Amino acid sequence: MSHPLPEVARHHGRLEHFIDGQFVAGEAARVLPVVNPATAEEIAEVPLATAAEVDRALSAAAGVFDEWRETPPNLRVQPLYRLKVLLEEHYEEIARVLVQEHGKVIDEARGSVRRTIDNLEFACGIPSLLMGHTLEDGAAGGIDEEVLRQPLGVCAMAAPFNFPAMVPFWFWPVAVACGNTFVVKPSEQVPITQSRIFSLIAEAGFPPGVVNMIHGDRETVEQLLADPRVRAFSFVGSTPVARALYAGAARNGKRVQCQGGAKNFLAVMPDADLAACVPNMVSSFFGNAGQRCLAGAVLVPVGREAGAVVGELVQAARQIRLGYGLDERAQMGPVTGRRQYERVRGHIERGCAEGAEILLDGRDPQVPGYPRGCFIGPTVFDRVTPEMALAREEVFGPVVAVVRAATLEDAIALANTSRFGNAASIYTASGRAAREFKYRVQAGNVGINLGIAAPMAYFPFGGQKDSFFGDLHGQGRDGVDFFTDRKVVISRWI
Amino acid sequence: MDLAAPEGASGELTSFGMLFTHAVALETRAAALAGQAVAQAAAGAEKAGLEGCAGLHRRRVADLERLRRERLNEVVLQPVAGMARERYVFPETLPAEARASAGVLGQVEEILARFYEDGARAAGAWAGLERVFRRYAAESRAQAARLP
Repeated sequence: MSHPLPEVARHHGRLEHFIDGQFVAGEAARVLPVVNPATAEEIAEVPLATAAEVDRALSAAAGVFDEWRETPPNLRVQPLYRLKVLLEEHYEEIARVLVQEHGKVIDEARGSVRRTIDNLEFACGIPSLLMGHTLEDGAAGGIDEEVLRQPLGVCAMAAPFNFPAMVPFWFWPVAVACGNTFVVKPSEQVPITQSRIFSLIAEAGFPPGVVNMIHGDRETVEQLLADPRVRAFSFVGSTPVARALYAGAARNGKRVQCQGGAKNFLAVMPDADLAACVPNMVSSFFGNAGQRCLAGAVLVPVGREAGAVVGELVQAARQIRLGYGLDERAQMGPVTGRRQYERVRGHIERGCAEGAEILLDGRDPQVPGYPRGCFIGPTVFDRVTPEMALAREEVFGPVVAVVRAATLEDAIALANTSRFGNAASIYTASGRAAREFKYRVQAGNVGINLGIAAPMAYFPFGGQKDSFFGDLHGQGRDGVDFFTDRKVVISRWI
Repeated sequence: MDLAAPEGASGELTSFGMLFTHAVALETRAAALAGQAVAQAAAGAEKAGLEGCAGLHRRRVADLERLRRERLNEVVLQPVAGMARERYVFPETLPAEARASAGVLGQVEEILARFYEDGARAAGAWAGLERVFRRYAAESRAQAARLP
């Protein structure tokens, strides 16, 4: 029997929207259950916003925009500082709520809450980050030229299910610090964490309407995209949706950044220190049950000794203990929900049908105490060819495809055939090989002897090809650029 | 709301979360045992030393909790191996006599030093944690040497 950490609440009730500084009960007839993927218990209900509720949120955000943008930057960040203190105080509680609705293990949840706070801290630096620049006599003698950064207006985002706390914080804190107002739409699969965070946002002292949250689904997103008051839109999710939203937002004249799916390659050179890199690869492939856009998906052993790395990976993967993420003994939780469970199983079955050699089969694992959970164990396929779906399509689960390469050049070429370009890693003792890899591989986030190349809040979160649609990424200075317009002023005083 | 860790879990420590939870449990218990020894000791240098020992463990509880909150992120996460909880168990109570109690506290410090030395090895991929654990191990070894 397991010994899980206590849940914050067994059931979180019916969630509410946060509009104009108030929590409001949803009027919708459409209400979805939120289900703990480890226990299969319903743990909350989420109302999907009506068109009128979305409109109220946008009206609130638009109505307060002038007041907020006229608030000096050093004062705009004060509620962010207060929110940081509140998040620190409620850190463990938020992490446990996150585990309960998402399924990831508690350490992963704690780490993602930390990254949530990191993004808030970055936004607190906006008085420096927002500075423009000036050139005396820049246009001609006696005529100066300067660049000002100004906020856009109402901005909005739709969040994915895999990081319920963190991903909204890639966007809204920096947007709001820049002087914009914001509407957040959490994933309807995992809305509890963000609701809990918004109860802290309500205490942080933002003027009503500056930050709003509406629960919803595709219809909600379509309304946000169509509304002319929304000036910028951010999204993280699957590639087909990212591509469609990018096109839709552009059609409606909005600034847009859409992060899509991934198929990340981990190349292991013959000189790699396996004792050091295998545990790291395990974390990359199986951490968060593989539901990370930065997760390793394809293992590419380079050279003739491929068997050693594959053998050690399988051996390590066998040791992974599955369980409810609130049990600190668990090293991997369930995937998030029945639909995701069926989807990942489908990929495994297709891999078998396509002729890949399954070395470790994670279907139907036994997880004592959680017979109804959406658990899929670590799964490793060897002898995958580049043409197989396992090597090309995003699984978003704990499934590894081993594709062997004779040389580093072959490994890079293999990675570059992917339509995705989110992340890629190399394990090697050779600086030359590492340099060649980072120079040539077509991926927005590159790891060297590191399987999860997750940029910190002050760096942009990269992504290329079908993994990102837009110009400016989330996080870092890209975020400041995305959420501001640059205005050039040329002045002459006579 | 009680967000405390559960009691009675046993077996291998297989994650950073378990390492931290066990470290906090050990330090909390060490502070309590040192506090009992303070109550038994006569006034003087020995009592002051025991008070210092209790204070050290109370500070470590706070520092460990802050370390977990502030430094744990996904880049450093990976499985932990080679840490059997049974190797790091304290005596339930102290003897009634003060000098014997100090001796038991010395054993407690040795156990803590062993825990942090093993933990530093297990946490090798997370350099920040390894450094802190090595410092704690050295402190506990020194503390053990000071106790009778």
